[in-house]
Amino acid sequence: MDLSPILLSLETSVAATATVTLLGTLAAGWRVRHRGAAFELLDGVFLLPLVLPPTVVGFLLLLLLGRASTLGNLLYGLGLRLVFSWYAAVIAAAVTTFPLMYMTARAALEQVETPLVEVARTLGAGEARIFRQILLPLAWPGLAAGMVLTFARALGDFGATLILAGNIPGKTQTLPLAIFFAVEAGDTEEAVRWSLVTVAISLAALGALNLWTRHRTGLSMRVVQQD
Amino acid sequence: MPNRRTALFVSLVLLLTAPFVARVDAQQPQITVAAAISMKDALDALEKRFSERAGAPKVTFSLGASGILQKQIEEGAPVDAFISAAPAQMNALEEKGLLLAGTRRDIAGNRLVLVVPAGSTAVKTLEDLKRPEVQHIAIGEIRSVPAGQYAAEALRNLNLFDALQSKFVYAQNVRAVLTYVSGRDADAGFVYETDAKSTDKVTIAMPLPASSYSPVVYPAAVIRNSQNAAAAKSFLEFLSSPEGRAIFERLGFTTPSK
Amino acid sequence: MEFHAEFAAHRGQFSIEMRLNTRSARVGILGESGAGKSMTLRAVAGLLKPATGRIEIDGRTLFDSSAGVNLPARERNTGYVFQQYALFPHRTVAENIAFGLAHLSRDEQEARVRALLGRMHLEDMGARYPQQLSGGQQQRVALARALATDPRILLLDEPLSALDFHIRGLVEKELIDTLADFSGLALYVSHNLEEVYRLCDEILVLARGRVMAFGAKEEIFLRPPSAEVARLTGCKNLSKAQVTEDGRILALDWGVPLRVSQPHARAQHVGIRANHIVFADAPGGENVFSCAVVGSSETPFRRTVYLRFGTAVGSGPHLQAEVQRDRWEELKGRPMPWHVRLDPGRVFVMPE
Repeated sequence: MDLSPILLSLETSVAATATVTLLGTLAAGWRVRHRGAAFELLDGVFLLPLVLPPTVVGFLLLLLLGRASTLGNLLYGLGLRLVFSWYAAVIAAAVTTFPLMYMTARAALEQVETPLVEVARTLGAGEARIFRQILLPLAWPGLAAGMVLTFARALGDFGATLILAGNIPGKTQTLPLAIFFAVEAGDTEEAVRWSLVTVAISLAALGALNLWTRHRTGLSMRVVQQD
Repeated sequence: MPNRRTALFVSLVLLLTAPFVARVDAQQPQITVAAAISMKDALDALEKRFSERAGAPKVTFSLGASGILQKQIEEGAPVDAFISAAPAQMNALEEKGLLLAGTRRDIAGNRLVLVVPAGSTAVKTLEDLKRPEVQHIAIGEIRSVPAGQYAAEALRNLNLFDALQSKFVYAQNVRAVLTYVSGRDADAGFVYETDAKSTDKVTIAMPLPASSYSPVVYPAAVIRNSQNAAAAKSFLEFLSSPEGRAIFERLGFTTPSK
Repeated sequence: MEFHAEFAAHRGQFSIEMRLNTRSARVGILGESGAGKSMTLRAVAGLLKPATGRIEIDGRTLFDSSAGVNLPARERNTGYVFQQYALFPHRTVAENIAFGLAHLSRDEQEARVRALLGRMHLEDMGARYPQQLSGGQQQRVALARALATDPRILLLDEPLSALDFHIRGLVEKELIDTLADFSGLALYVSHNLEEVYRLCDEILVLARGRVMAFGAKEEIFLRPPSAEVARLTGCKNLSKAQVTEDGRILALDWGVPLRVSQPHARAQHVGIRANHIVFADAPGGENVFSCAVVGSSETPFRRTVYLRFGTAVGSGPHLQAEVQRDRWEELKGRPMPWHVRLDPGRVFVMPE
């Protein structure tokens, strides 16, 4: 039996989660320091993939990155054929999960008490150091929760992945795609098999992630209880 | 200037009576035809011409993949007629005794073609597909999309399937194949001639040799449990009439030589 | 050392106009909640940007709106002790104190931290986390952290308010000792007059975002410039006043004429502190008046007596007097009316 959907799903979800954690946290960190109406508009853009149906997200990405577009053509000229590649699957999952991480990271960063940031400033710390040494460590429980959400959602992405990455067994056919096409073909047995595998992976991954975050949260929970 | 209360009241009255008004129209017979989505353009044109006839029943289409429509009919979906994109689904229904005897006929045929993005000259023959510049070939998912089945059958008979398999991108329907090729993300694709003719964003490189695949025929039949069998029959007869055939041919279908 | 701070700042609906020019090393900012005390500290620290103005210490400009200078907080080298200490919960005491020393070598950092831990009597606490410490210890860590960078200005925002009452005295004494070794300017914000009086040399009284008084602490307390400042500095006995032809001052609210030693050009109010009121044994004499006791209350340390001038028992007390317990024992048996003496040297006159 071809086990490639399992491997592809894992690779894609991990890559998407890593990318989104980095980008989402940085975007949230930047946004927390810049307030004002103009930035609220930016929020709308950041959160758009959450509001749109995944298929629409995939379609918009295809419009943006496909060879029919200026950008896509440019990338193609540089030798980057994104559509129908594994990278497309990662991009699709990353775009649909970005809003989740962004929102969670913002909430986590904003709940860090302002006096802590301010006193760090008076002690000579620049914004980068404050972000690294004050905000990130104290926002950790929230960020970890965001990572868990992101991974779960990335694992289950279908619509955007199908349109942008296409259904290519061994290259872009993740578990959700394999399940869908098994159902289309009337192969219920295969569909059930893949579904069970997906459930098993999700439970295992989420369980492992939860254990790890609880361990780290346990350390910081002790210290968060200020007098 | 009517005040808001009045406007609201009138709207409410209209809303509540609308169903009854609609029912009045239903003196005229209505039929629901389940049809393969690949026939959409043709069916729209045919229905328009059909409705010009006096006393013609109103036709509503339920479009979808032939396989799914077949399953819905098996589960008792209330359709009056079925037009499938391949014989297999119709055969399944016939075996189960779900068709009204004597109403099954082939109403049109189609041909499989190799398409490339409009203006592309890189691929002219099937052999060209083997070239390294061709990286992605869009094809319908073989197990569930009839056009994909036909294409796979043809390529196997032509001993090209194994060589090209690694380049395939499997789409969930023919329209998706068209989108991939017209957007130039796929370098080539397999679609029906009718699909290729429906957009100027793709060019037909060549038709697949007719001998390499089973004929693509669209069977149609009245469903045995239909409440409007006579009306359904009259529609199918229209499809087989010279007028109907003309419309099919105009859109690129072939018509059975009957 | 010279410090100049003159600025106007806004936050939402609230605005503050500050004017503080001093050579002194210990300046207290006294005011009620919402008077703008914290805003002042934040402006000096660089956490708040005033709309206009200038802030300068020893010739170094921290902020100057007309010249477009606004040093970011991290370059001002101020030490800030927040009311709730704002210790980093995920760092040890030693790491907290060393936070501002990142530009020094490891050895130098360790040496300084060790020295500060010693100075603050926190010798064995270096490896602990803030929430493992008591309130008094946390305060000392916050202070140590602020002093570690050798700041020119130390900003203390109600440093004793968060402490339990019974240790406040102890911590205050330690604070005085620590500040004795501090060579820069300390701005001490509090709503507690006694703290401010004990810790500072000069006092700035702030109300509703405006400077009401500024000067040496004795001046402010003994000769407040206005009734409002008198009230803010804890004076409870105030009356509107009017100068009479014979050079005395009529206390309008109390209905008694007073002789006052303090020279005065203008007299809008008079006042006397509760603990300066003396009970005379007999009527007659300068500034001696009969009064009735309309109430009293007791704390473990003193008794407060509420008095009303005139023999008739009307509504509401005129004066509040504080007497020691043994004096009260002597007095309480006496028949009414009693007689109070308002020492002319203790009555102060306010031009506003």
